[in-house]
This record gives sequence, structure tokens and C-alpha cells, in this order.
Amino acid sequence: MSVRVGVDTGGTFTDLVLFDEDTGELRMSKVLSTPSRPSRAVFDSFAKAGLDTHDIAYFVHGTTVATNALIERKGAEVALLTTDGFRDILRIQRVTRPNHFDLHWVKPRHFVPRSRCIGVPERVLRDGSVLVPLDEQRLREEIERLRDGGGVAAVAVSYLFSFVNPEHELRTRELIDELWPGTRVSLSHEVLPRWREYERTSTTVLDAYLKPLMHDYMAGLEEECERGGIGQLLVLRSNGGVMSADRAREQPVALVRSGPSGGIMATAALGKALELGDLIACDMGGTSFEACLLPASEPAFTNLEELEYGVPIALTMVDARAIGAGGGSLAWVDAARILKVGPQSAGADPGPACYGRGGTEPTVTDANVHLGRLTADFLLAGDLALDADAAARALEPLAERLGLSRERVAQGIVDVANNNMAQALRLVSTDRGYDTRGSTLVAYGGAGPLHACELARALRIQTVLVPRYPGAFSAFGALLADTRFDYTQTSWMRLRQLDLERANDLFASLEGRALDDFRREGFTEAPRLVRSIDVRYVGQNWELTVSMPGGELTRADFEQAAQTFGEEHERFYGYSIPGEELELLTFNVAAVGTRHTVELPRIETGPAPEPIARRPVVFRADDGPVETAVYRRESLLAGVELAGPAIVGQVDATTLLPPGAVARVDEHANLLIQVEGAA
Amino acid sequence: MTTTDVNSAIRTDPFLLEIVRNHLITTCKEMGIAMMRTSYSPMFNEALDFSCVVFDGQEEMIAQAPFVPAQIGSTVHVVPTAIAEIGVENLRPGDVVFTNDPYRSNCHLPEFVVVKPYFHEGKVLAYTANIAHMTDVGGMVPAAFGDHQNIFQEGIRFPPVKIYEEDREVESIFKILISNVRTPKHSYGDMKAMIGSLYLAERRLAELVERYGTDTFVQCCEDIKDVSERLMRAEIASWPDGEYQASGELEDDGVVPDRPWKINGTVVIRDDELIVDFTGSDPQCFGPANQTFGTTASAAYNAVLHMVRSDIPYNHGCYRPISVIAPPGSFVNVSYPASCTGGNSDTHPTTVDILLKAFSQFSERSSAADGGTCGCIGFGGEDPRTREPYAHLHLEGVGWGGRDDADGNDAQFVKNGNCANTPVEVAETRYPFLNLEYQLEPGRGGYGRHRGGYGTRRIFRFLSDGVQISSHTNRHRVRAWGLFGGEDGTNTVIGFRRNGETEWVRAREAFGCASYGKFSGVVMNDGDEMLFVTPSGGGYGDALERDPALVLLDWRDELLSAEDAREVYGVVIDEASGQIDGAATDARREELRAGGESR
Repeated sequence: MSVRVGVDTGGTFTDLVLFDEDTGELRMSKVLSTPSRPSRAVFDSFAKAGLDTHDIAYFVHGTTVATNALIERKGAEVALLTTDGFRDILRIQRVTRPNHFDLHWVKPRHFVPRSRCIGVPERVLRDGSVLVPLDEQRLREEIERLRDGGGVAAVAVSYLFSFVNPEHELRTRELIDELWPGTRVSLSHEVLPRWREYERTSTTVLDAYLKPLMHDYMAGLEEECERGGIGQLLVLRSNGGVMSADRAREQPVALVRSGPSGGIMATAALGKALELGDLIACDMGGTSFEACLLPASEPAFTNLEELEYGVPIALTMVDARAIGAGGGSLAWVDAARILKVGPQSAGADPGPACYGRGGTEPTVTDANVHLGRLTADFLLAGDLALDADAAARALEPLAERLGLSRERVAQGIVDVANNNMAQALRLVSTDRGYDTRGSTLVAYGGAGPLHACELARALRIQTVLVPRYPGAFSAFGALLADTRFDYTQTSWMRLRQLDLERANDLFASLEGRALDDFRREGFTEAPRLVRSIDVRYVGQNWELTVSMPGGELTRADFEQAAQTFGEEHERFYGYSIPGEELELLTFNVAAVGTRHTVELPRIETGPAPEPIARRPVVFRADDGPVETAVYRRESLLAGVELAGPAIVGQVDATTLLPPGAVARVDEHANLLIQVEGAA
Repeated sequence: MTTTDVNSAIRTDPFLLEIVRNHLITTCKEMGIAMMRTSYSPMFNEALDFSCVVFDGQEEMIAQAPFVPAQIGSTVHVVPTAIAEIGVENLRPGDVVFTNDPYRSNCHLPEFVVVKPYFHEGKVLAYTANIAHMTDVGGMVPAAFGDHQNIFQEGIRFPPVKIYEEDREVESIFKILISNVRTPKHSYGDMKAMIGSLYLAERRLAELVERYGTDTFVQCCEDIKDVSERLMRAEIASWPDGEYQASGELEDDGVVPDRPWKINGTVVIRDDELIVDFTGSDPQCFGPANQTFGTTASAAYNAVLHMVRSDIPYNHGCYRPISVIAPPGSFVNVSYPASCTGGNSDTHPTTVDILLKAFSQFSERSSAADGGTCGCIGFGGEDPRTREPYAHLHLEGVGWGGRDDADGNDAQFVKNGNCANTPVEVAETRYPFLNLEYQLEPGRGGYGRHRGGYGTRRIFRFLSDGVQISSHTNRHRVRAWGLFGGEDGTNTVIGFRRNGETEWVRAREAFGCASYGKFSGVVMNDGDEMLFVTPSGGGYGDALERDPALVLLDWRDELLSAEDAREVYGVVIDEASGQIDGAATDARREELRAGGESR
């Protein structure tokens, strides 16, 4: 029992990274995903890696099962219980629209039909007092009606101000358990104990929607793992932490960004190990691109996410901006004859034209092939052949339409895709006032390293890091992730009327819950507790999060927090109001438990190898092709320096070094690239 | 210029142009996020009643984001007006110009407009601007909406003045402002948030100019406008030349009972240009329902932009082919000192719907009328919990009109705005009243092949004495009209009941107001309640042609009774099985068609 594995199931591939605790060996395997039964691909990946499951002590799973269930709307039939008088909350939403001049936009339907949105007589007020007691008789009748009506598999409960006083929601679950045992229940104050009832209700409904499915998936996986003698099964959450499988079953909405958070956590770990400071993670796969900012190698988080316009998932998750830009993204020309790329994708089937599987429309991958940037020599160890002629044919219609050469069009496709990705990168960085120029771009996903240097230039980033296994980096992240739980409690308090005792009690209670949960998760050591408070000027409605020290808090600690708030406000929004009264709103504790550290394996130093080939590659269409050396990634030993133009190929990705860039191989086999030459 | 060859409008690199345009639009969005996060009033941080725009050195708009159409359209006029009055030559780096004057092409007094020149190497290269609906502006009622009869009752008015000079607050302007409003602290915080957003935008503009150079930036601004102009002209050219006239009424002005006010709109299409002529509209009214020229022009742009395809980048180029004629002193071009707050909230959407009716003479892509009101209800008083005065403007979604491809959306903010509702939990935390109910109102009306969307029903209970209530709302009498045989929508209802009473009474009967929807001076006390029902949209097409599956869906959603399904749509639902009886439906529809007017 000495092996730890991280497995990431994506839409196309399931990736595995293995760490042998005895030998320190790090290994990867890659198999095709099996969307109809994702756990099969998981066990396929074990087999491909030559693993006896009994040797697996610890298995962390990143999954897109929840994400895909939401996108494809394949979750459970849900009923919603609300405060009486507010049953239409899912239909009313926030009454805005995404385009201000579109007569034909159709407001999205949420996940529960109106006939199953049921008002229950009860009402809690802002201070937690009860205006209308819970009408248990009515509630019993409604539960029985739902039970007897059939079809419903999960119940979401979201009452007004339940985050202040959860009694009615808790009692509702007791009654459901009593009258209708086995039904999955999601309570809004547990899913998201924050104000703004629509966002809370929406998130709770999505949780219930996923619960039966994820419950079955997790239970099935747990069973198979047990049968295979696997030590411990953990699941990666959207916030980058891991949770036990049985807990994941209880809060599946926490898994909607399980997949991408692996790569982001891996980025954080690598950045810290190498002391790289500010990072920007960019994950470019077959259909999508995800960007995330990691100031000081810490990931940024958000709770303003939307599944689609008007359908929020207001849960803390990695603040990754996803756009439809991947290797398979289609290029097209709009009515203004402007070249566009994505968001439509050729997907895995038929895939880019160059895959020779029937695709005829040009994709980003076809453009890269046409420019000579992508070669078939390495991809999936030669399993995948690339048809350059097919790529050229696919580009022809666009070239005619735009009156440009195919090369120029291919260049244009890459430029537009890069621009779209740069825009996504900006959205995650500038919303918070960060200047990206001192950051390191960490590029992964199958297509990330191919575009990384140009993206870096667009954002004026000097350094790019391409990890050892860029295609399996998310799986690697799953392996590294800490256990992390977030606890929050909203409690209005003005700083001038600071109730120090209550503030300390609030943190103590949140931390008590954290310690309990970590014991349940099988930890023997106490987690690291990170405190923060959401603060605003009295009168504002949105908050900035200010971190707080541990231990018994004093008035001086709060004065320091006030000063930090003013500085942050100035930095984010261009001004502050000295002397203005502050309001403390939500108390947060993030509890982080570190499992074991994965030692990054080291490689030997050695001289630069001879290139395995030389080929013409177009970097700027105007300049024509440039003779470019091609290297095998595995042949690059520590200390090797390569000057662009060069191509570095490996099984799971291709790294492009444009002229002027210089790459150095570090002792952990990472490629560190200075995009404008040696630093 | 009829050419659709947009590429020839691009003198910069098309790829670069895309980058610069996206960067500018992103800048507007970022300004909005900063506004939301830092402002004080729920009007800004929940309802998002503000618009952030960027203008170029020619004082022409180069970027906007999906904010409030009424505000965005008026910036086309009020921003250059404000700059011209100060004089470009008098602007210095770090200056911010401020105005809220409705007679200078602003939409109405509560719209506060701030404009900041962006200097680069001693020259103004661009302007960043923010137009935002300030909750309280002084005047006779909290939150500015009621039955005003002149501008002096509406509140404090600023002609264009500098509110920042070289990065410093102009103290006197701030002092005058906060001395004349009910919630000085909030007004100050909101102004700072607005101005803060301009500074944020300027940083983003500087990045762009630093990166691509002044010349490229200036050329991109021209290209951005020219591309949009050509796209607009191509759309207009595809419409048949002609004059398309339509008229409609705003039900009253809050001052003269039962006197409707007519708007006459003629859309003249000639080749790739379009004139919107409001000649023939009524003279200006006595209450606050008048439109300023800025509001009317904005409504004309709004209607046209709703008719063209929705992927044209919105900027000054979109407005170039459109001319607006609005006779001064009329209901659609108010003269000083007549009142005009509600012209922007309720007359604007009615104007848009009248123009959409004109467009329907040649296009099926038009729609039936929407709920036609922003649902502006002002609350003010003292919060007993804090002893601090408060002023809150309540806004509400309405049903939209049916259209060729779908039912109207339920509970959506009316066309002149794009504001959000304020969460119950936020409103109750900040103000001393409760919401006892907030749900859809499946009223009987708006039937059609595609029905109008539903409005909502809300009940407030007040928790303190002396709550002052005023309102500027619409469709208490004149309902959203149907199109192509669709039926009219349902009415707005505002009702009151004293603590312990069971019947709702309306402002006109109970408080002697001239109007059901445009009034002030209603005072509610602890335990009293107020009902607010918003209207549905009009229906589109013949109800007997409605897809029975949609009728069944409404029935399953408990929005339509089986009886109404049979009587209105001729769809017979077997309630026991929950299925449509096809044969009975065919027969019933035949019967209703034959019966015609008996329906």
C-alpha cells in the first residue's frame, strides 16, 4: 500500500497521475473517457498505468460528472419548498436580461417546474425572530402529496432568512425524513448561509438537482474502490479542496468545478514550491479555455458564478473564467466579415479536420497544423495521426472569403483565439485591480503550451512555466489538493459598536465545526484555520474580504482590519473614505488540512540533446516559415537551455517556443520560458 | 452609403480592432462591477440602475455594455452638451464634470451624469462617463417619483459644473448637493462610487493607448463607429421604404384625472436612413410624465435597436443613421420648467412600444407591448431601528409582450431599463418594512398565439409610522396592447389597507389623488399594508392558434385554469389524465372560430 493516484475525468480523456511513496516515482496514463459510466474510465486508467488497485492507498478524484449533468440537464426531478408567498422565486429571478436590446431573448427556465414549487406557511425575520411559526400540519400534507405524486427524487428547502435562524429548515428535513425516508434533501442555510434569497435558492435547487445522481455515482465508485482494496477515496471540490466521498454525496453542488480546480491547485503548489510569486493559470483543452489568477501563488475564489445567465451558483469556487476556446474551436466569419473563433467546437467527434475523422471546418488545431506548429510525432504516442492536407483544405473557404492567403488566415485564427483567451485572462485579473506584468503564466491542458508564449506576450508576462505533464496537470492537482472546507456565518455588526465577545464566539463556533468535520474526515492533526471577515462601509451592499489573525481577537486586531480595508478599497476601486464607519458582515473560516506532501521528483542534469528533426514553422505570416528544431520533451535534462524557435513535443502536449523565447529545464523537468529572451 | 462591405470601413487591422473594441466594452463592464461593489444605494448595488460608457475625443460614444437603454441613449446627447458648456479648453486632467439637468438632454433630474476627460500628452483622447439614477434628489417626495407639476418640486438641479478639479473634490458642489437631499451620506457615497468608476476606466484606457499608441487608438475609435454604422445602414436598407405611423396613449399625468396623453410616432424609412417623427403628439402635460428630448431620442434609438439584429456592436455608429423630430413644448420634448421625472420611467417604454407597432406594419419580428412601467414607488421616513432618515425607490419587473418566436418573458424589467429587483432579504435588512408576498400574477389577459409574460404581485407591511409613499406607475387603465390579433394585457394595481382591514383601497378613492398610479402624499403607519401588482404584456397572434402543448404547460404550471384553456384557447384538457383531448380541442376551436365575437 504505497501508491497515491489523482484521476481527472474530462469530456474527452481521463487522466491519471501516480505517485509512488516508496520510490518517489511520478507517472501518468491517459485513456478515453466513458461518459455513460465514468467510473469505468477511472479503472481503465489504473489498468493502463499497470496498477494493482490494492496498492492504491489514497485516491483523489476530480470529476466533471456534476458539471456535465448541469450542462446537459440530466439531474433529478426536484421539488422546492419556500416561504409561503414566494413560490415563484425561480421564475421571477432578478428580472434583468443579458442583452439590453434583444426582443427575442427567452428567459431561462430554472430546474423546478412551478407546480413543484410549494409555499409553506412560516416566516423568519431579519433578526431571527419568528413572525409566522412553521405550519407543520400543512408541511406534512405537502410532503405526503409530493411523495404520493411520484417522480420527485429530491427536495430543496429555502426559507427567507434561514441563514439567521435555520430552525424551520431543520424541522422541515426532520419531517421529510420521517414521512418520506430516503429522499434527498438540500437545505439552503447549509448549502449557502448568506443573504440574497434568489442566489441562495438557486444554488440549493442545483444541489438537490445533482444529489440523487452524485449520490449514486459516489456510492458506486466507493463500492468499486472498496472491492478493489483502494485505501481512501476523496473527491476534489470546486474550491480546490478535497472531501470524502460520503460528504461529497451530501453537497454535490460543491463539485461543479471539481475538474478545473485540480489544475489550479497544481499551479498553486508548483508556484509555491518554486517560489514564483504571482501566477496566472491557463488551461486550454479541446473545447474550452480556463483562466485563473493566483496572486502570491494563492488561487482567487468567487461566489458570483452563473450556470447560464440568471442561474447563479453562488458558492465559493475557484475563480476560473471559462470561454469556448480550445484546439477544437471552430473559426468562422461573421456578417461584418470579422474573423471569429468559437465558442462552437468540433468536439471530439468529428474533431478538427486534421484528425481525419470527417471534420471539414477549420479549427484552431488545423490552423496550428497548417502553420507547422503542431506535429503528429508525439501526440498520444503516435496514436493520433494529423492530416496536414485536410487542415489546409478546411482553411481554403475562409481564405477565399477574406481574400487572404491560407497562411494569413491560419495566423488570424490563432491570433483571434489568443485574443479571446487574453480577454478571459484579463477578466480574472483586472476585476481585482491586479497588474499582470510581474506574473508567471502556467500553461497546461493539451493545447495550453502551444499558445502560452503568445498569450504571455499579449498580457506582457515575461515568464511561462510548462509543467512536466501539462496534459495531465489537473490529475496531478487532484493528487496535491489539501482538504479544505469553508464555513461562513452572516452577522451584522458595526465596527464602532464592536461586540468583541460575539465576534470571538462566532469564529470559535465556526472553528469548532471545522474541527468536528476534520475529525469526521479521518484527520488526526488539526487543520490550518484561515479567518476572514467580509467588510464594507455602512451603507454599501457588497463587501471586501479582509483576513484576520487567529487566536483571541482584540480591538487592535479590528483596527488593523479597518486599515487594511481602506487600503484594499483604494487599490480596487480607486478611492477610500477615511473615517467612514465600517460594517462587519460575514465571518468566514477556511479550514485546510494537508494530507501528505508530494515531493516533486528530480531529474538529472545533462547537456542539450540534438533535435530529432527540423521543420519549417510559421510564427508570423508576414515573415514566412522559419526553420525550427524539434525536441523530445523526455530527452531534456535539467539545466538544458533551448532558444526559440523550437518545438518541444511529448505524449500529452506540444510546447512552442517562438523566436526570441528561451526555455530552461529545471531540476523537476519543468520548462521555464523567458518569452523575450533571457531574463 | 448603402454598401454592406464592412471591411472597407476598417482602416486598422481587423484583429487589432476586435481587441480594442473588446477592451473598451470590458472597461464599461468593469466600471459597472466597481459601481455595484462600492455604491451605497440599493438602486445601484442591487438594482444596477446606472450605465457606464466611453466616448472618444470626438465626443462620440465608442463603447457601452448591457446597462440601461434609456440612460445610454441619452448620453449620446447629454455628454457632449455637458462638455460643450464647460468648454474643452477649460478641462484639465483630473477634472470631472457633473450635471443632472433634464433640459440639457438628460433623461430626468434623478439621472446624475459624470464625465471625465482622459488626457494623453496634453490632449483629450477620450471621455469616461457614468449616468446613474440617484435615489433621492431632494424635492417634494422621497426618491423623486410622484405627481410633481414643475421642476422645482422634483429636486435640486445642477447645470454642468466641475465636481472634481485636478483630482480634488470641489467642496462647494458636494456641500450644496448633500445639503439638499434626504440621505446625504448615501448620496455622497454614491457620488464617490460613480467617480471612482471613471478613474478605474481611465486606467484601462491608458493601458490601451500605452500599448498601441495614440494614432492607432484614434483610428480604432473611428473604425469602431464606422463598422457599426455600416451594419445599421445595411439593416435599415433591408426594410421597405415608406412612412409607418402609429399612435398610443399614456393613461394620465397624475394631475388631470382620466386625461390620456397621446404620442404620435411616424417612422420614415428612406434607403439606409431612418427618421422618427413625433409631430402630432400632444402638448406637454401638467404632471411628470413628459419626456425630455434626451428621453425621446433615447426611446427612438431603443425601438430601432430592438428591431435590428442583436450582434451589432453598440456605439455612436448605431445612432448616425437615425434622426429624431420632437416638437418643443410637446409631451415628447418638454420645456422648462415643466416636470419630467416619469417621462423617463413610464412614457419611454410606451413610446418604444408605439414605434414597435409602427414597425409591425412591415415586420413580424416586432412584438406586442410590454408592462410599460418601471414600477417606481418611493418610500421615505425615519428608520425606527437606527433613527436615521431613509429614502428607497422600489422598482419591479413586468410581463413583456408576446413575439413571433416565443411568449413574452415573465417578470422582466421594462424595455427602457435593465434593472434588477432588490432581494427581500436586502430590502428588509435595510428598511423598516416587510414583504409578505412576492410571486407571479397569472392574471387573465395578454392571450395570444404567444401570450404576454406575467407580471408580479407583492404585498408590503410597514413597520413604522409616517412612511411617505409616492409613485409614478402606468397601466392602471391603459393595458399593454396585443399585436396581430393578440389580446391586451392586464392592469397594474396599487392598493392600501390599514392595519386590521381586509379590503384593498386605491390611492384615488382612499387618498383623493388624481391618479391610481401617479401620486404622492400617501402616509402608511405601523402594521398598514400595500399591494403592488404589475401588468402582463400583450399577446401576439390569435389565441386559437396557440400550440396546445404550450397551453397544457401553462395549465400544468398552475398559471391557467382548464376553463380558461377551453374558453380562451379552445384547448380541452382532461384534468384527470392531465392530457389534451385532441378531438374535443379541434371541435372547440372550430366552435370558437365560428362564434367569433361571442368570445
